[in-house]
Amino acid sequence: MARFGVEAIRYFSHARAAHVSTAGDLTYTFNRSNGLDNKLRGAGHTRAFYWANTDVWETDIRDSDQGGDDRHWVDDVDLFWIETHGNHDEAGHAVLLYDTPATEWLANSAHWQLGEDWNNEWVMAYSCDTAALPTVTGLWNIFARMHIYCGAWDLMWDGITTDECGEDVGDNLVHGDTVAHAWHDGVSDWWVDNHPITVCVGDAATWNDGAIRWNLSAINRDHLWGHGTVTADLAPAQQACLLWYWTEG
Amino acid sequence: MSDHTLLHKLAGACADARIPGQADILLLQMPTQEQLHARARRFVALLTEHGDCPHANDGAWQQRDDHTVIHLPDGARAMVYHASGALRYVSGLGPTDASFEHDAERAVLQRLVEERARKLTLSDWAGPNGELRFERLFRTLGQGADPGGKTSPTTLFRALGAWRQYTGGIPVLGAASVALRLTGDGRLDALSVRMRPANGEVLDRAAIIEPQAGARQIVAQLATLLGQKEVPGDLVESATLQFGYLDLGKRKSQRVLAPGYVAQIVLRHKTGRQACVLAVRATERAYLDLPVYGSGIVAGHGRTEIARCERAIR
Repeated sequence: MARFGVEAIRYFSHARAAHVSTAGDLTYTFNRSNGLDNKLRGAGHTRAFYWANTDVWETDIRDSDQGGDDRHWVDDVDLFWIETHGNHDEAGHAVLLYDTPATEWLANSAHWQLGEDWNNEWVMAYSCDTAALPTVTGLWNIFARMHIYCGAWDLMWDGITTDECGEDVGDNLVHGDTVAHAWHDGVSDWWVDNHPITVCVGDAATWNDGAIRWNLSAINRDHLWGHGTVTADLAPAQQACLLWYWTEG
Repeated sequence: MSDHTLLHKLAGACADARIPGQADILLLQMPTQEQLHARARRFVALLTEHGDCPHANDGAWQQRDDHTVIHLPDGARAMVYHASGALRYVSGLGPTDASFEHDAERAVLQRLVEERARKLTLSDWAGPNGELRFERLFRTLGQGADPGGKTSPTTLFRALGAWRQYTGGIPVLGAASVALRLTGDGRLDALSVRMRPANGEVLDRAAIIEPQAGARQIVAQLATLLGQKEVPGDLVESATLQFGYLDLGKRKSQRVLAPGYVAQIVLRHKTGRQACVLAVRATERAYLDLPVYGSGIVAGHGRTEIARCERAIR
């Protein structure tokens, strides 16, 4: 079975007061994060941590070799779910906003390295714009044996019609859907366009000189532990391609 | 754009819509377990009859917290949600199985999903005074790159059509009423039907408030989220407002369909964008509870240094 961690930020009053951002509070953050938490725990998976608001720190996902503490948090769980405001920089690195500077207000994925010697397979970020299509390869550095990054290539909506997304992703995972399918289907209400994207690395056999063998990819084969197959970790030296799979309306 | 012009933009978005002066408040069925099971059987039988799901003698039924799952052969499953009667079918295919051989124009894909919806007579689920209108096409695609920057061609994997239920000419807003997803070889990969069965009775006939009044409430909600008295004009990237009945979601019981205004607003901050869906009722009287700001956190303890130490010791 899997160990998972949840981090969710609904209020951004401190970031606004510090003039870091004008970002507004979110509304249904905890409906989604509580929903995922309930579904996974209900199926026997273990919650390692659940931090909210100012208890969510950017160091939790920053690599331990780069001043962070991921080895005790994000890289110590199989699945990590985060909800906050998101963006990306020009190089395609994901950027996340926090409501406390512990130690930075903004996380930048240039400093993430997940699955390294530790544990993480999947990161799910319910946030806007963290994996823009034109610069998606800017995420490559985060894959140090991690399998799939699930995010959004454009807007991700917060509101009354997306409040069940966490429960939907959780249900999909424990019903044996692939992680990629669980994300794409779970975060979509098929009214607003939530722009889901899943990004993974593949080996040379999968890349196949550009004629991609998608059936070998983590996108097609990874399931939550206990609910189906999981591909083997790919160390950076074995990575021959970055693959991305997205839904557009 | 100032607070004032956001208000006018939202209200103006409804200018071309024919908003009635009054609308019926429609009573909905609160389905019993027997009705839910009958609905699920009808759903699976329909798909089986058209060869869209593997044949099973009733499948294996499993009751979960808020839904019942019917496990079908080949990893397929159907689900019925207890609170709403919403239905869902999933084929069990991998996300990249059975891709399209060639990219196809959106019009071609729309025709494919519409033909399948007709064949499955999905509009029958909309009830006697209801209809289904096509709303949007979604596509799922894939691509890759090697470390040298060589990119692969784009592969089209799935086409999904989304429809909206209209009842008495008024749209039922919320998640798509029907969503049907096809593989490249024409197989049904997923289908959801979220149309609550009406009980055929009208609870009341209510006067509809002006869009301007609905927009004013939405702007006030948004200002609260921003921690401001007014919405700074330069933050607003786009804003729309729709009038319709509101469905609260498949896991929620709902006694009536009552009219509301639903806004979709995109804000652009210097650290990123924010996309909000905000809903208010369109009647003076409240027929439906609209939880404006969602639930609170369930995990109660704070993150103290002690908690961090405990975690590290473990």
